[in-house]
This record gives sequence, C-alpha cells and structure tokens, in this order.
Amino acid sequence: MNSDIEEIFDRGRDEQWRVDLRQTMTPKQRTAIPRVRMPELDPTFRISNNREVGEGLSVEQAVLEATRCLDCANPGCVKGCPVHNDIPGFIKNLERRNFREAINVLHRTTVLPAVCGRVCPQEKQCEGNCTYLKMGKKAVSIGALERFTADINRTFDRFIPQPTSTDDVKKRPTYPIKVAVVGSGPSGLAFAGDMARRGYKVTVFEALSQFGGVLKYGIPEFCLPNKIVDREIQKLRDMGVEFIKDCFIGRTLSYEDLHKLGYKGLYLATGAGKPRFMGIKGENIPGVMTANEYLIRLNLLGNAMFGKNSVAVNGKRVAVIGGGNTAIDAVRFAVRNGAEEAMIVYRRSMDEIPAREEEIRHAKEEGIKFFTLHNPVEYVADENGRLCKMLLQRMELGEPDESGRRSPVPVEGDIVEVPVDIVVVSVGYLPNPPASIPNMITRKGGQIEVDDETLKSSSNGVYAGGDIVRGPATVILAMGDGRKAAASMAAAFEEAMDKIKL
Amino acid sequence: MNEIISISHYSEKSARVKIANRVVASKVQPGQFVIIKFSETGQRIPFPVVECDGETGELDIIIHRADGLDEILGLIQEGGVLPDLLGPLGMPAVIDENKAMLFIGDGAGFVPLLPLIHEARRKGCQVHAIVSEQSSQTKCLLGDINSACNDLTVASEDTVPEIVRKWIEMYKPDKMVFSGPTMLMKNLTAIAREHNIPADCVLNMLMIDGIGICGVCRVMIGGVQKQTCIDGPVFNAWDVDFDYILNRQRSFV
Repeated sequence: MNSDIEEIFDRGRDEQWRVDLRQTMTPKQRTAIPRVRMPELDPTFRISNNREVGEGLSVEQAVLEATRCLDCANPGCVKGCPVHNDIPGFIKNLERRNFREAINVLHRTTVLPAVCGRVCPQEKQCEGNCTYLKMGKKAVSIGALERFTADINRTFDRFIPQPTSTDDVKKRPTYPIKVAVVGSGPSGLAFAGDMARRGYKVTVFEALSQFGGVLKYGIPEFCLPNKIVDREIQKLRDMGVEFIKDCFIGRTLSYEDLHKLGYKGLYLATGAGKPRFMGIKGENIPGVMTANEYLIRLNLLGNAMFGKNSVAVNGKRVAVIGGGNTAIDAVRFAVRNGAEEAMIVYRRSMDEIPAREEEIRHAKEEGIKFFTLHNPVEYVADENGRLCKMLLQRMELGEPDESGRRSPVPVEGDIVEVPVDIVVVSVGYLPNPPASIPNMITRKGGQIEVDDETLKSSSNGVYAGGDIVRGPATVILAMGDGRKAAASMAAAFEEAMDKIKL
Repeated sequence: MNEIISISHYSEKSARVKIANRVVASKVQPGQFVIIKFSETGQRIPFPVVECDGETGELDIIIHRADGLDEILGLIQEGGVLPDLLGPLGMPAVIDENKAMLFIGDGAGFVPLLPLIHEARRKGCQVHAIVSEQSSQTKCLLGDINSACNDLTVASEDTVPEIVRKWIEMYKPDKMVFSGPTMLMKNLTAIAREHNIPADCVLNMLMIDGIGICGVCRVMIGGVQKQTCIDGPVFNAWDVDFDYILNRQRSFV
C-alpha cells in the first residue's frame, strides 16, 4: 500500500466523529450481530426471467451490517482490495447514515462501486481479509455494503440532481489535451473517469454498438443489470467524456489517424475476449459454441431476435465446459433459457473452482449440476450432424502445478458418455486482436508488454491495462489498471508542461 | 453519418443501398466488409462493400433475400440513418498487377467478387468471369459485372466445372478467385489443384461481432484455426478445409 493512501486512512480514522462512533458500542456488542443476508429472488422464480438475483440491502440492514465493522486500526480488507478502497471509511459513514459521504469515500479510489459491489470475488479480496475471519466468524458483508452505497446514491441522484463524482472537475484546471481510450470496458471507463476528473479531454472508442465492454456483453443481466452500467457511462458523459461507438481502432481509425486528430495520449484497454479452444475431436460440430457466442447472443440479441440465418441456442441439455465466472454465467443463462438439464464440466474438484463463491451457490440453488473432475475428450454428432453427446474423461487430482492448484490427471480408461444438445466452451480467453500500434511490444500470447509501475507500453504515448495486459482477470483489477495508467499519464503530461518555458 | 443516400431495387430479391460514412468509406479496401444493424435491436449483418468512394464518403452494399431483404426494406428509407455501421472489417484481398484472372461466382456469391474484379481491372489484369445463374439474383448484377470484365459467361451450376475447365485451357489464368456455395467452392478448388492454378476464395460465414470475439466464423486454414472476420474473408482456397465449413454450415439452415 503506498504512503499517501495510508495517510488518507489515518486522517479519516482519527476524525472526531469516527472516534465517537467507535465508542458507541463495544467490539463484543458489534461481533454479536449476525452477518446480514441479502434478500434474493426465489430460485424457482428467478430461473424464469433475467431479473437480478440479489435484491440489495434495505437501509436498516445496511446500517446494522455497517455496525458490525470494528473499524480496525490496521484494516486487512483494504490490503485485500486490489485498488485499496477505504473500506472502514465508507462503512463507518454508512453506520452514521451519511450515505452521501460514504459514496464520496468510495469514489476516491473506485469509479464503479455499483459494479464492483456486485461482481468482485469479495471472499478472496476484502472479505477474505476481514478481522472477523480470524475470530472464526463470518466477514462483514463488504460487497453488499458497497453495492448498497452505490445504489442508494443513485436513488438520491434521481431526486437531488447533485453530481458527486464531478465535484472535483470544477476545482481542477482544464487542459486542452486530448487523450483517447480504446475499449469501453471497466478499465477504459476507469481511465476515462480519472482523466476527465483531472481536466483532460477524453474520447472513448468502442468497436461494438454498446458501451461497457464485458460489463454488457459478458456479465449477464441477472448478475449486473445493464441500466447500472448505462448509469456509470452517463456519469462519465456528464463529466465531459466523449463516447464513440462502431469505431474499431486499427481498422476504422488507425493510430496515425488518432495522432492527426490531435490525441496526445492513448490508453489501450481492449480486453481479452478471443476464445480459446481445447482442440479436441468434434469441437466444431454444430451445437458446440464458445461462451462468448452464447453470452453475446443471449445478452444482446435476446433469443426472440434470432434471424433465420442464425443458430438457435435453445437446448434441453446444456453443458458448459470450465469453472470460471464466465462458465457459471453461461450455465445459469442456460437454465433461464429453458434448459431442462444444465451442467458444469470442470476438470478439477469443487475446491479449486475459480468462480465466485456466491455465483456457485446461486447456480446450485438453480439446480445446476456440477461434473467436477471430468474433462471432455470428444463431442459426438448424430446422423444429422448435430451434437448429441459428449465423452468425458474422469480425472483425479495430482501434484500442485505452478498456479498452486492441484493439477488434474486422467484416470485411464474411465470415460463416461453424457447426452447433450449444446456445449458451451469456456476454458479461457486470449487477448483481442491488436490495434496495430507501431513499435508495440507484445508477449508471445498477444498481451501487451508494459512497465509495471506506469503501465506505459513500448510505443510513444501509449499506455495499456486490463485484460489486454494481464490476460483474463477481474473487473476490479482492470479498473485498478485504468486508474494507475491515468495517474502515470497525467504525471507525464504535467512533467512535460512544467518544462515549457514561455 | 450512416445516412442512406439511395436504395435501388434490382429485383424483388436484391437491392443496392448507398450509405454515407466518410470515415469508413475512406478506409475500405477491396475484399473488406462492414457490419450493419438496421435497427437498434436488430441483428448484426455483414455485407461486402461492393463499391466505395473515399472522395464522396459513400459506400454501396447489396442486400439479398438471404440477408432478410424484406424485413430490412421495412426498416430503412432514403434519407434515413442507420443506427450502426462498423468497418472496414477483414483483411484486404491481395491482387497482383497484369495477371490473367478467372473469377467464378454463384448468385449472391458474386457480390463479394465485384470489388475484386474492379480492383483487378485497375491493376491491368485480364478479367474473365463465369457467373452461374441460379436465380434472378445474378441477373440484376450482370450489367455491373459485364462492364468490368473482358469476358463473361453465364452458366448454370451444373455446367460451371465444365466451363471452368474449358476456360482454363483457353485463357491459362494465373489465378482463380471464387465465391459462392461451399460445395461449389470445394469443387472449384479441386479443379484449381488439378491444373495447378493458385486460387483465392471469399468465405461467407455467419458472424456476430465481426471483431474476433464470438468464434462463430471460425474456419480451418492450412490446419490452423482462423477467424473469417479478422483473418479473412479472402483465403487461399488450397488451404481451406471445406468439409469443415460444410459441417459447420449445417446448423445455419
């Protein structure tokens, strides 16, 4: 954690109101409160629609949950958060019912609290480092509180149109310097927000027809409603960020064009969405598709919208290969899309599955089967050429591999046949096609090589972050990269401006 | 941007639409395509750019019945604006100068060949074309094709292989370029191999995003998996695994 972040926290924690608040209850009283349970739609109801599963906390629930937080002197949650949100800071504001200030605290480090509160793997980050765990109790429900803070402020904004995040805009000088962002996913949005707040003129270029990147095309409505993403984008528009759709940088406009248009800095956040295949027999028979295809179709097109030239994605038996968040999203979508039997096929055991805990719990509630320790070896078509079954190899866990997870090894000769109508392959992603930037050094896998500290690439004035640099990772890490790149690009501009002598 | 300048009706099965988009029009090279949404909630449909003028900033596409012509015509009108047009996508076709070229197209399959024919003419090639006529879809293009070719023959699908063989004898083409149903392209590739003539084909695959994300348009080229939207749509026909495409296309009918 860097020193100026620490400084903010120290100051916040020593403020009189916070000291007083800590003394209103003893730690023993606080720890006696049970962890809140967010109301959720009933599984039998929610599988009939795309409504968001978690209904959010009520004000009283949120305040009570905020009371649980001990406001530790050395908060583990903050260290566990990739962008070091001031978690006790915003939670204590919730406790004293100053919801406006709570969002302001969050906005100091995150631009997408409504999104992160919903899709972050909190059990591995903030909540995974909560002091309560050391006491053998359940962690403070930080994710739910973050979501509550963002949601309630969105409601406030409807009645009191008072921009919270744009306050600093007026305080800052405005530079006539234009910067371009390629990609409107979490990383690009975070970068755009931070640069706009610093007073730069920002344009976001998106190749597809909707803004939000993976937040729209990947994460389904029942996990993250599109209107929340749209709201975040509207906020950036209000701050003066320009959004241009249908513009594929490298094709529609080249790097040279951007230069001619006067862009002095470029942030590449094009993501990793190119699907990976396993290279097994039958992977190309109709009925086997990528998770991207499946999710884009369902998220954006809606099943009813399918033209006569397209593939129907309705299947009675749907198997999703993989154990990541995308895989779980796809399989839960399958249930909502009328699948009678939906299953996850994952080659390791339930302990190694990388998806969020909450997603897995939701999936199980929705009746999804988990074929763990199984790996597909072949897909088989019927006489009409359509997929009819898959052959799964039974696996067992061997020695831990370089990622620390125990690597699966096949149990010789133990192969099961499973009838299936649709297979959705979700076994990882590769970086998206490059944007043809001169002098850009990329790694073998296609990821852009950047300086770890500044996120500057080998090409002049070009920074990069998010999945295009990391490979498939999380929304919060992508967002963190966007903020980091904005800070270092702004520092570079300011340094250059300091040198100008008139 | 994306204003519809004009809609000309060739037949009840096809229409030519001229769209204004200065940025895209200045970038399109022969062989590239655009993806268009005709309504906010509609499908994304890829179209080869048949003609394009960087000066006026206009580009032409031809909409066929297979693309859903009736529905589309219900959505657009001259002077209207298309919600989305993304392009240019795909890789430009490589056409050498001063060669004898043999173009073979079938019905709607001839549309993507038109810009390549024009390009070949600009590069001083001898252009010979065979159009296999299946429907009035081709008829409406004949004028366009004829004016761009040195020599044009209209055949039926059954007689195409025969005529192609005859023309190969007659004109000794340096290269063949073809587009059309997968089965026809597979047969033509066999003929090209037989006569040891380099051949390109323009693949027509279903696409969703057109920027290499969904994997719907994946094809096997020389044993390597490629995406038609990023690496194509023009490929060396000798390398294309047509059986693979035939199998994948089964789900689209």
